[in-house]
Amino acid sequence: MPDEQPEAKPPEPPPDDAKLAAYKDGVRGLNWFVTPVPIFKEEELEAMFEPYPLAKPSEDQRWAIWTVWIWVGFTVFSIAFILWLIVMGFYYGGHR
Amino acid sequence: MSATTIDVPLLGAKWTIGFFGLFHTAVASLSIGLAAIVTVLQIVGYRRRDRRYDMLARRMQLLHVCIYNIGTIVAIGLIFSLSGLYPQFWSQLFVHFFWTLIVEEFIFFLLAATLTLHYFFWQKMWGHKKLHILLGALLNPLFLLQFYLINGIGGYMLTPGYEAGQADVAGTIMGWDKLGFYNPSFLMLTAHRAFANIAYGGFSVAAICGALHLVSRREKVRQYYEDGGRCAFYTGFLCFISLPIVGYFYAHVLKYDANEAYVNLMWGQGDVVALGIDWWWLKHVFVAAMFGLSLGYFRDSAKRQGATFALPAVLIWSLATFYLMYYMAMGMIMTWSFFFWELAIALASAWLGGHLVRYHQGSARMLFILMGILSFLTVMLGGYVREAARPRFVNRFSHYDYVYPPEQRQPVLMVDKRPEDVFTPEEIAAAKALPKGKLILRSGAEQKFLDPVALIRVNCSGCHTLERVKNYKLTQHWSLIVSQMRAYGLKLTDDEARQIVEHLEAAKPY
Repeated sequence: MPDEQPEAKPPEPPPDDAKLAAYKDGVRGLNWFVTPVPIFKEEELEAMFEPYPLAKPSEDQRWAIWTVWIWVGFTVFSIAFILWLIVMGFYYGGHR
Repeated sequence: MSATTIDVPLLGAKWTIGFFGLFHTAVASLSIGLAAIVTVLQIVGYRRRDRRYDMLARRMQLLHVCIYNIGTIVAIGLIFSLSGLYPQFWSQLFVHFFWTLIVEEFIFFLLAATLTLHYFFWQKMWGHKKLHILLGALLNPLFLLQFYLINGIGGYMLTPGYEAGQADVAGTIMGWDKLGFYNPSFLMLTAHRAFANIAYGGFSVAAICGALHLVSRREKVRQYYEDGGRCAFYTGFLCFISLPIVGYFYAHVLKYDANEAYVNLMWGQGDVVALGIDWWWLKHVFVAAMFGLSLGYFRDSAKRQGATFALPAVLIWSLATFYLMYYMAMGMIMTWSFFFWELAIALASAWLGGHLVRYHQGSARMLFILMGILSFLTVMLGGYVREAARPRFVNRFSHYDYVYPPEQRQPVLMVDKRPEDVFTPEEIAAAKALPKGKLILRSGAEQKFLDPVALIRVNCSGCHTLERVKNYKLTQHWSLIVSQMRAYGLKLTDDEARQIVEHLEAAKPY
């Protein structure tokens, strides 16, 4: 009867690039939009504490930054518009 | 008017609305609080270049994505229920504030999209971190605007406000009512909710950190949850400490503009008392416990750092002293029994807070969990008593006179008629000619004032405590005393003065 005991996996080597490892924080693979709830071992969590992985702006994908800038612009404009409506509503109350 | 209404099995109409309302309160308030706490955590992480705060912010934002969706879905359930169970009242309110609600809906869209982008682009923007923080921070003004708008309507349902505004409803005011929106309780409701939501969010995040600290084993991970919990706890406390001050002025607004709700709250009447429990009283017991626990926490922190005192603890003592002074000077509403119970619970909680931190070797994890539970219960009870205190709509089709008196309902809603078809030109002109700013005197309020117990409570406690009245022994002089009070400026009709004197001379309870 074969030995059914699974072989103990060798420990994973420490990542060469801690920053890259942190960058991939919690995302198994590259499926960014179906991000599973990251469940870490405490050792994994600890490894992520140290670097604050700021990157050069050029490392970010341009489409993502453009998307966010467009949305921020639209939202700020919308907030300004709603504030304008509130101010106008304060002076013009709908009473004839 | 008799009409057939929809019956909800088991729950009934009132508790159907109550269920959806409380469920919405639990998650929507947390959602607003989480937006603020996530922003704070992200900024702290960025300024210190400490990833731990950013990681915690991300986990909390994931929770936020989940509960935001639940909150909006429950809000839709609330709207559906109101439309079916209180159809006339609800459609009147919707038409009255149509544009307000449309803007509200637009902000829902902005919030959902901003929240989604902020969470799912977290890992894509490490080269544009400030932009990412700005994106998340935009949730805060959006939430503020959203409950600014909904509070105008919520406040209107409790304190409809000024006669001119209401009279104009008969003249077909549609979509936006300035005087109705900026009603007497609007400002205090908005301020109280803003601070309360952030406090609730802060204490909840601290509680989550406390729970995760409990199940963690490695020292660095525990420190991560301890520091994250402390950051959230401090942010929550900063808002929590302002609540008694705002709440005090909120109560004063209710005293004059929603007197029945005020009397129900302060003296435990109506639905405020259910199952033999005064839930308003219990809410304040929890508030006292939260202040006590905070005091214990800050005192212990100060001792550990070798400081002679903790500023937040000084703030709590100052607040308690000023609060008592205001109550004594401006007419103390609470009884001495209530006061001493609050004090005893606060002091016991202060001891418990310090003990919990010492017992857990300097970790505030259990204190954070306890604060989270208490803040949740406080928010729930606050939501319940706020709605339970208002006059009930006993007949769901017609009895909402407090908000829309019959002669001021929009005739265009349920029938195919314009105001000119229903009212004479003289009636419409008379409604418009009413002076603006004049307080409306509703039929219910008149009835309340015909009750000598309410007359005594409302009028006497305007300037001094009821204890002072009860301690006065020369009972044959009540007529003279009441005359003196009228000379001091108390506004009473002769009939009201007579009722008060008769009641006091008969030594009946009040």
